[in-house]
Amino acid sequence: MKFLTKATAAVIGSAVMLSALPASGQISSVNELLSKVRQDAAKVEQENRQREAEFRQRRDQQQALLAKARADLGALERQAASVERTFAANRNTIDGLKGELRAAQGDFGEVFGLARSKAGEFKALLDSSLITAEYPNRTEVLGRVAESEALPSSEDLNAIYERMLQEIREQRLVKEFQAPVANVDDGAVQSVTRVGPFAVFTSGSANFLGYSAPTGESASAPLLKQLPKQPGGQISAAASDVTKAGSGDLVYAPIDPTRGALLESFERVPDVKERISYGGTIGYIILLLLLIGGLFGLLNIVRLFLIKTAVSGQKRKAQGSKSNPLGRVMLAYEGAKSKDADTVELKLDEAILKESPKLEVGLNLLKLFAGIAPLLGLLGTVTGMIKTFQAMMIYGTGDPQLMAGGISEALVTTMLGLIAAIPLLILHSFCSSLARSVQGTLEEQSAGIVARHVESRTGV
Amino acid sequence: MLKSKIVKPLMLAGAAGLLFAAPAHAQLESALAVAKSSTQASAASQRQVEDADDAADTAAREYRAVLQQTDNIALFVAQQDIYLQSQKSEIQSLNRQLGTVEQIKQGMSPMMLRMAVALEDSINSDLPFNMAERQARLADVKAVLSDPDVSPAEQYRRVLNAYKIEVSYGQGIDSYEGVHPTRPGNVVNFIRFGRTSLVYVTKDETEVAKYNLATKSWDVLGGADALAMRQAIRIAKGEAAPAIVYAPVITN
Repeated sequence: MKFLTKATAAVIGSAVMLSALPASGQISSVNELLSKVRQDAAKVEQENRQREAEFRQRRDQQQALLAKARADLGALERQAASVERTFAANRNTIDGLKGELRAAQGDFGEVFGLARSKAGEFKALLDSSLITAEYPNRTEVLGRVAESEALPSSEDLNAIYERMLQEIREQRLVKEFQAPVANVDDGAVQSVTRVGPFAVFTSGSANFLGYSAPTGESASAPLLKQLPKQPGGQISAAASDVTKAGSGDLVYAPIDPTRGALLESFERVPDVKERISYGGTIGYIILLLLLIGGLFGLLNIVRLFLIKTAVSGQKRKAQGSKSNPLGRVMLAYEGAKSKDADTVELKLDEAILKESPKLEVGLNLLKLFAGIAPLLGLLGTVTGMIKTFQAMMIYGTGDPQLMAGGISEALVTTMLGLIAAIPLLILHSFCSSLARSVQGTLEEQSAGIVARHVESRTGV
Repeated sequence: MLKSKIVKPLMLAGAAGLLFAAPAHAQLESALAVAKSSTQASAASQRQVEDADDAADTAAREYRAVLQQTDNIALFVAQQDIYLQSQKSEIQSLNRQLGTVEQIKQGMSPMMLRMAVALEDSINSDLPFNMAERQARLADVKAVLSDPDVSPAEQYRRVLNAYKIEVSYGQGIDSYEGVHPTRPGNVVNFIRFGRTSLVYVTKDETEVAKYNLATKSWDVLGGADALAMRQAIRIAKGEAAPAIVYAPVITN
């Protein structure tokens, strides 16, 4: 700034000089020079005065602004001081009033403190009961009493025990009410039935619902939600009976003694597919064995049954046929009819011996399958236990859940082995009894043929 | 610099003037004096300008500082105003409480009596389970309420505790042995499904009866599943893992 003013002054000075210089050329007398100098001096003086005035004005303006700002600040400071005084005074008043209130409460101060803590306790108790789903706002007043520092009013104090009485009354009832249910029609209001505080299900389709206590954050979320996996069987049937019963009817209602935990645990019970997957590779091999063996056994039964029927049909016919074992035995006799009894008997034995392997085809395979299925199960048990011990070796025995995978593999493979072996054994015994019965028929018939042959030869 | 620039031409002019006339000498002198004083005046003026400028700068700086401080204090005052507001409402609330505390205090004892009466009504109209225990608790509460030596807090605590125990009865299943309600010479197993149902099963499992709250009598259940009741009793006693049990109930 200073530099600027100096520069300005220099510029002004040289301007004066420049205007004087050309004039100096024309100056012809000292008088003129004098007057010129006087004029210039007056001009410079005027200009200086003007500049001084301008700067002074600027200074005065700034100072005036500053003064005003200082005045404002002063006023604010006074205000702040007064506000602080008021604050302190209020604090004193409040302390005084609190003291007065404490004194006025006397023995009852403890009662009010107790009311507050019990209101909080009862709120938690009532929120955990699914009856709150029917009366979603009933614990609000308890929360207010528990959290407020002010004295609870008479109505609030009454509300504490009235809410508990209401809970006692409602615990007796098996009743229908309206409530929003999550995961059904986007949380639409449904007609639901509850059995006391023990179980709740939709009135329409008797689907069990889970209850979750209201939380501060999601005030608008429905308290009831449909359980993803229904228990099914007798439990669901009982719920369905309750929904169908008319008012005043006696029904056997399902009761969850754990108030919801048991019903919700059905979600975590694995289904058949999941259980089989625990068996691992060996489990799948056993199931493949069962499938192949079962199909093979059933086909064998059909085949043997057809042979048996054909043999029974052949028994009534004198003429042998090539399409069934008995017919083939009879044809063998036809070929040796002229021979003596011993030769006929030998020929027939040969024919029967030829038939036997055809009848017993596949029976050994079935027996093998039935035999190795439990062995594979045993193998799975061993691998499962090896996994268990490996888990114990790596993670220690602190957490039994780490061993559950191996143990379930061990047990599931054993189960699958038995599941495969039992029907395969039954199929095998069925097939072999059918085969034996056909063989028996063949032997019986051949003995008859020999007897008739001997009779005809001796010519009685 | 200014001085020399103005003075130089003047000196030249003065020298030229001296050549012309001697009387002009005095005039030149005065001209020089005029020029000199003008220069001095200019210098003085410059100093004044600089002073004024300095003062203006200082004022501007101070102005900024003052404005900053004003802002801070204004914020402080605004904040304090909020506190004052909350203090005001607290004072109001305290005054209101002071106004009602006497009333609430006086209402306390009648309220506790009402609570006891309501509890008694509730027990009498409830399923008749654990009656001896519950009546004893009720009698205890009444005794405490009528004892002037017991502090109001203790009285209130006892009543509320009784309420809590009553509510907890309804939240689980329970089984106990008791006297046959209609043939007092016999002992039966009672099974209570919360408050929804109270059933007894005779020891030989030939008779199962349910308490009817409406008629206040026992209805013998024909065709009841004694095996299911036995299962429920085991679960209630903690002898079997928790499972869903089936309670004979009347729908509302």
